[in-house]
Amino acid sequence: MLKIREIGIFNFGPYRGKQQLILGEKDGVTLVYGENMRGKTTLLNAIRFALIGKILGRGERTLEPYRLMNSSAYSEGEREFGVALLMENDGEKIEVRRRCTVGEEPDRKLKIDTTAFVADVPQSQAETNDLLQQLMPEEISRFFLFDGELLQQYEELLMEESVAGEQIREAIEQILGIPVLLNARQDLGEVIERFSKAETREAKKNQATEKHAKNLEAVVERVKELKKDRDKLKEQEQDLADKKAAMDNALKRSSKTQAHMAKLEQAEERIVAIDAKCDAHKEEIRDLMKVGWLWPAMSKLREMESEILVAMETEAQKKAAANRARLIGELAKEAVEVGKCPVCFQECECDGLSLGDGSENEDPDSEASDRQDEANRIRQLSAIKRLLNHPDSGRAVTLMEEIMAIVAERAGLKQDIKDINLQLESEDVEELKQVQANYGPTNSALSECRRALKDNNRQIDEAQSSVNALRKRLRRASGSNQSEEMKRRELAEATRSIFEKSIGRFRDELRDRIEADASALFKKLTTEKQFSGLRINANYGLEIMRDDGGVQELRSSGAEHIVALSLVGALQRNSSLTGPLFIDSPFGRLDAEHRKNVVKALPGMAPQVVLLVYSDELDLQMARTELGASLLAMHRLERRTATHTQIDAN
Amino acid sequence: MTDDRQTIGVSEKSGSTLEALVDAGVFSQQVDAAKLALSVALAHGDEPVESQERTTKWNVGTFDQNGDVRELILCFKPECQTPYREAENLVECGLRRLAEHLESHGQLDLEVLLNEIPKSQEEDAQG
Amino acid sequence: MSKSGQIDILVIACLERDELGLSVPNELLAAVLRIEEANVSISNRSKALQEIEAQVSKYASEAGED
Repeated sequence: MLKIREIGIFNFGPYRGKQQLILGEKDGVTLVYGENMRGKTTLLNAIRFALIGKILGRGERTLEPYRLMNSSAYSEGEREFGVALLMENDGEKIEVRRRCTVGEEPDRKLKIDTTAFVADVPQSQAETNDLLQQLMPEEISRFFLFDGELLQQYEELLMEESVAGEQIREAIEQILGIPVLLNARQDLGEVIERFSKAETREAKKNQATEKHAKNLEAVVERVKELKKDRDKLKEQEQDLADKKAAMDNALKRSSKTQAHMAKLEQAEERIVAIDAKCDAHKEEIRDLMKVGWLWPAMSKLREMESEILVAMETEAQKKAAANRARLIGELAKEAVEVGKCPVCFQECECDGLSLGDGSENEDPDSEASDRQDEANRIRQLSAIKRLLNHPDSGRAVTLMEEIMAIVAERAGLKQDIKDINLQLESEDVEELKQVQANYGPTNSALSECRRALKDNNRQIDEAQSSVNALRKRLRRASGSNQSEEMKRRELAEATRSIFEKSIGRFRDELRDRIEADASALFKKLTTEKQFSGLRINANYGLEIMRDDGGVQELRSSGAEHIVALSLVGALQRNSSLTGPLFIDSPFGRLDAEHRKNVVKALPGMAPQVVLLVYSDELDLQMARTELGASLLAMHRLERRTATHTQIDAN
Repeated sequence: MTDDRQTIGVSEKSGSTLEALVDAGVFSQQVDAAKLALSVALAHGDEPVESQERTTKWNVGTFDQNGDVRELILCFKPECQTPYREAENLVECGLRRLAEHLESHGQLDLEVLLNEIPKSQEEDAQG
Repeated sequence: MSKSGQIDILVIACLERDELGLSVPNELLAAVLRIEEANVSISNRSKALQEIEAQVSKYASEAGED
């Protein structure tokens, strides 16, 4: 079991000069506290850097180590910083040191010297690398160096299809010892191949088995080639999956930028659309204006038309009256001459009757003038009707109103575009564009690779069946003279089958245990009585179960904290690799009751627990009370200056 | 019979107004803008302006292809013996109005332009 | 790996062996397990392969003598 006894840091982050954090030899909880930005997370990064050689920034981004050089030391001309860990692993003393030298501006090239000692014996570079890989493999470090602000990675576990979830699952299985079985399967496969070759060589020497041996050799060779192809494809798949996961992270981190870019694109597209509409409207207006020049005069023309029609009506009435008068005159004259009314044929007395025939009112000149007027009016009316026979201005007015609305909208969109571009200036748009451009092809390549792998596996299975069939024939042909090589190969195959099957059963059993342990821990940590426990999925994602049998779908970030801590605790219990548990800011969104429960549970989570908190995050008196004898020490991170934090023991 | 004009010309200032009207995108050609100006001047009952330095823009055949301009002027002024002389003067008046309109509105606002046309006294009484 | 982890896997391996009806000695299973546990993080497998090969050969010839 791995324990860290001492952490030595110099010029690392805000820790100016040489400083030490002594954790001691006993099992228990160590508390490290200070104000915000005093260097708690840097302590976590110091351990990570010592064991893995990497440091993480916000959003899990790997940072360049030179960024951790203490700035006041650097400005005073110092160029070295580093970290050293004094540890114990299953009783053996281990020391690891990483010393960094920062080069001059502008490159600030970093030189890192890593040394390790086991029982005070210096290790070679290769031995050091192997040692570090064994002590704390990078893939599983997140379960020992727990950063409360990186909870979203634990949420990935709930998504069975997620690439990140699969990577974390593999990391968990590494802690639990499944790689031992996976490696056994693989190594035995290699050994079988070797024995198989030897067996075939032997069988070729024998006439009875020569033919089968040659056929078998050919098919085995084919299987070998297919497996080589499979390895290449797996490597390719991993590479593509890693790229895709990195792109997924980049896209997630840049969701704001993406939103801005989408808005920008939308605005630009809208401008193109309304410009096209505006152009079309203007085209239509120009067409209408070819006859539209008449519109201002149209109402006057309509008035004139009315006037002419009224005049014509009046004239017509006058004429009709004149005609009536003439007719009556003619009829009267006839009556006087005949002595009878020409209409009713009655006798009439016509003495003294004026016998005008209406012609006394007739003036030939006036009639000619009237006819001229009539002709003018008809001509004028005809001209007016022709001029009025054009579309009115309604459509043109509507189009112009729409154009004005478009102009206003365009101005608004241009302003929006200006504002968005201003915001995008501070964001890495080019990088995002590249990620977006590459995402589709990478995804397609990954799918294609997986399809090829599937096909390859099918071919391997088919070839393997042929191998098995040929081996049976070889065995029959050998009769009772089974070669040593055949016995070895058969024993290796049987052993491999056993380990192969064990993987599934071991996984299932481990998952059951983790589910049980995580559930038990969860019930200690949560204050919600309606939660009955946790249920595990294939990715080791944990669902909260209610006592009505349902799954708690919506989870607050406080609940996520509790679930993640439960998983970490359960993994520590079941791990093949036990080590110290460093927890940075686990209380972020937890209320006082939950905090108390977490503190109480800490001693049971791992033999060595180091809790890093900021001053207001935890009631120190409550911690003392709840932890009792399990509390080994409390260390305060004290601010000397903005760039100098001192570790003081309380 | 008095000789009527064979060409239509505009002053320098009115020439600029015609360019501005076409640039605004509402007219395909300057002749359409000139005819609108004429129509506006007629509707307002403007007294035509004579004797200005004018540059010839169109011959009357181009200006009044289908005779509508001539007909319109004769509808409003039946006694007019020289409709194209009248037309040229009305174009000048109308373009001055349109220049003022452009200056105060920034663009050709057709609705406003048409609403400014004076109504008859009878319509006013009814309105 | 912790001792309990090793024992767990060995127990499971034995169960599988019995269910599959295969004749593989406990000692061979334990030996493979021990070799794999010692080499779990080592990327160069040749040492592990040699040791496993040796163990399988040993038990194969012992079985022949039975």
